[in-house]
Amino acid sequence: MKKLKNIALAGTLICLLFTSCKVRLLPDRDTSLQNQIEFTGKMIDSLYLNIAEETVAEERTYKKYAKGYNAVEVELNSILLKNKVKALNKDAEKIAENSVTLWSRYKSKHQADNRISNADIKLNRVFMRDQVLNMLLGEKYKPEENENEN
Amino acid sequence: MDFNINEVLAGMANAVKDSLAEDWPEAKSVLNRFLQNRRARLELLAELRLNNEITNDDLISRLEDEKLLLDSELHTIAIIGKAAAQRAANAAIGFLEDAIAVAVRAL
Repeated sequence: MKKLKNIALAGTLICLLFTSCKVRLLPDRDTSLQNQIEFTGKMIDSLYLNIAEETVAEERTYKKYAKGYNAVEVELNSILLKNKVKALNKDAEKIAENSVTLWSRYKSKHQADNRISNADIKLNRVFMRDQVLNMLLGEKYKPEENENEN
Repeated sequence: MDFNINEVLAGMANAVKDSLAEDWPEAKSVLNRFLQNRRARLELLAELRLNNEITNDDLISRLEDEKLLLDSELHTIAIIGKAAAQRAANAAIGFLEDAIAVAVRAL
């Protein structure tokens, strides 16, 4: 009887060994996406520095900077899309979605006012910088590829 | 056959503990950074409002932006937590697998 028990236990252990699995709660870290996020952060910073070069707020018409706004929006939408298609990625998707929302707010306000104040330039830069930081950290702390291998 | 389930469970618990202990300082430093950034943003908002560079409506609208940032920060922390939980669970499974491999080799 004891021998039978040992065989059953050994069988179970061997099965467990060969069907070994890993817990997976997140997708792999994506370094190309990390680079894209960094690049988008630079684009945002560069756009606001350009706008700030124009010292008269009334001269900072939306049309002058529309290309820059749209280029950033394209990158943010692309980051959102790349996050959406990954499994187990709801948190990063929500962060990317918030980035798109925040950017749309700033773009729409500049469009509606057709000018932008020094205060808004300062605030938009800081808020977007911190939002980009969220996207970057969200990607950085995902497991490396080899951590998710079976 | 040498497979002491109590020793294995204790080993798995230690693997979880060590893994989480490694991840905690990182999570703490990110949390601190978020708090510092929030403080800097709120100080900037207060300064601009006091200097009349923004209106009350602007301030309210910026607080709406703050909500989005807070939501993003919570999701970032969730990612860090999930990554830590994943590493801890896999460390425990790794310990179990090693114990099984040793027991099977002894057969």
